Amino acid sequence: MNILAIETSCDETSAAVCRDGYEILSNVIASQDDIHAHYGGVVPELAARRHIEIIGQVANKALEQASAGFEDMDILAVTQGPGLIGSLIVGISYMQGVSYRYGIPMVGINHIEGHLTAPLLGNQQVCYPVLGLIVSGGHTMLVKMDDVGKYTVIGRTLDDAAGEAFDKVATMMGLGYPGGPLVSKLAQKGDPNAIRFPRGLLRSQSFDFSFSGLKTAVLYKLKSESHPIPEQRQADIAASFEEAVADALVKKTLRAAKQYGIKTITAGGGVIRNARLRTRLEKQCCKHGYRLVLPEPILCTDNAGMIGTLAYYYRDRAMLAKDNAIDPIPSLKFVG
Amino acid sequence: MNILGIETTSSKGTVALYSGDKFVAELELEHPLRHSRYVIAAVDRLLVDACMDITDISRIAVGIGPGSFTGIRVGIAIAKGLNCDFAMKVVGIPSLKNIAVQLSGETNISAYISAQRDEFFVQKFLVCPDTGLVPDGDCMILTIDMMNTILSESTILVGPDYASIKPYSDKLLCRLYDHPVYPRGQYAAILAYQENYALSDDDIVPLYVRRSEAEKKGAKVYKF
Repeated sequence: MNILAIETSCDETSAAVCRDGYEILSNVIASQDDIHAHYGGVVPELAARRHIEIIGQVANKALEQASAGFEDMDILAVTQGPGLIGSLIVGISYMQGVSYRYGIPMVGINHIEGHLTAPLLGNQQVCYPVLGLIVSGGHTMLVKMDDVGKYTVIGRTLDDAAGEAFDKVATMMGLGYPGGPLVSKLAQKGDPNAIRFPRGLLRSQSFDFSFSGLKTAVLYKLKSESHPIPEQRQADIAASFEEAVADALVKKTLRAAKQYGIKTITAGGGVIRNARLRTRLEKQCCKHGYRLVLPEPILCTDNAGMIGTLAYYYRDRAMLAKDNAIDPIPSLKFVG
Repeated sequence: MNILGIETTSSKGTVALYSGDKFVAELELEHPLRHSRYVIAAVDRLLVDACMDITDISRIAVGIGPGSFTGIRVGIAIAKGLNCDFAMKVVGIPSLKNIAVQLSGETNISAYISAQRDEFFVQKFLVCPDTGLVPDGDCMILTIDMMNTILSESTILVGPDYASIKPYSDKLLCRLYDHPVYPRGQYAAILAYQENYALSDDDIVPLYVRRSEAEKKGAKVYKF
């Protein structure tokens, strides 16, 4: 079964061709980082404007790379939410047109579920239950997965997402956007133990997260320093901030795995590309006997490949756009 | 040549079908604020009633604004999806021209659409015996006071947001057309037929007259 997928939930315009729920034949991602860099974060209106300009090109490029045509597709998959309404609606509207033009049924997919299942689908060695950690610019959550489609959210951020904190700290430090890779690059030269930043809710028995206090602590630290801040000191601040984020994420994840008796842990979302976080997760999982399944980097960022592979499992829900149009849902709930 | 007209730039969305220069039908979308949900169903009804298939369409005329940012993008994205394999031609039709062409017997027409915050997108048009309706300058963003410095008394002002502009009618120097006139799919289609031009799919982008709020405000910079 061939599936053409589109993902436009935020600021990446992505199209992919997938086969049978595990094989990604092409996965084209057009980043908008250069558009949003000036503003230190994603500007929803500008994101939507870019999506509409290039969506046709991106979809055709994905088909070309897969040596396929629209007529070869059995299902269309599109991100229905959560995400920015102006961005979601471009992908959905485009796919409705394609659905009608070629008579191909389409299905709406949850973006977060796509991240969560990306490294698992087609992996014969995965045994449920699995504990999933999602860390991105818009979401931070812990999910108990009993199978595809059977999830329980056991923790989430109560304020900022971890990726959002990275972007804001990068803006405070004048590093630019996207903040994650820039903070991480600077942090490589710093001492992660130089400053003891707060680990939000780490002592709480819940599995919820909080990063706004950490972000504010960095702001006050920057204010308290004599300016201009020497390069090494900036690197220490970045490394200490990164360490605080990783510490909170890794410790809570392992604690949740222990409490729920789960032996396999997975992680997804853009922040999972962070080398410090990956290393910490790998070491701690190894030390405590957990199996860790991490996605390859391209599946960490927002991409249509994860939407297309997951859509295979929801193929029975696919309908023609003329019979049942899909509505964008910016706050689409993660099914618990 | 069968032309499908899609107009979703205002609260009243419509789709229409032309066969050459012959009007076939027009349908109004069911809900004023959820065009994305109803466009394809309406297109299907149009084509089924006309005993046609989407492959019988050779040209799509789509509204490109100005107007509702989301509405504009819905129409264009659907048009691009329908023309995903580039088998058709897609023609972008400016909403203000779509409105102006609906008025007959006038020579100085200014079309408007609300731009929110007491401002209006306005474009002047002239009707000439030889060339028909032609733009007289670019689209502008005007307040009522600014309109009075730009629009002459002989101009008739016409657009969809009559309720928004009516309270200012006493202040206006130009004449105000006393009914709302919306950009419509049928006029998009006939304009696409008459002008007989077509752009490549990549060129069909919204007509943004106003910059986004973020562009106006600029970046946030921390100063310590």
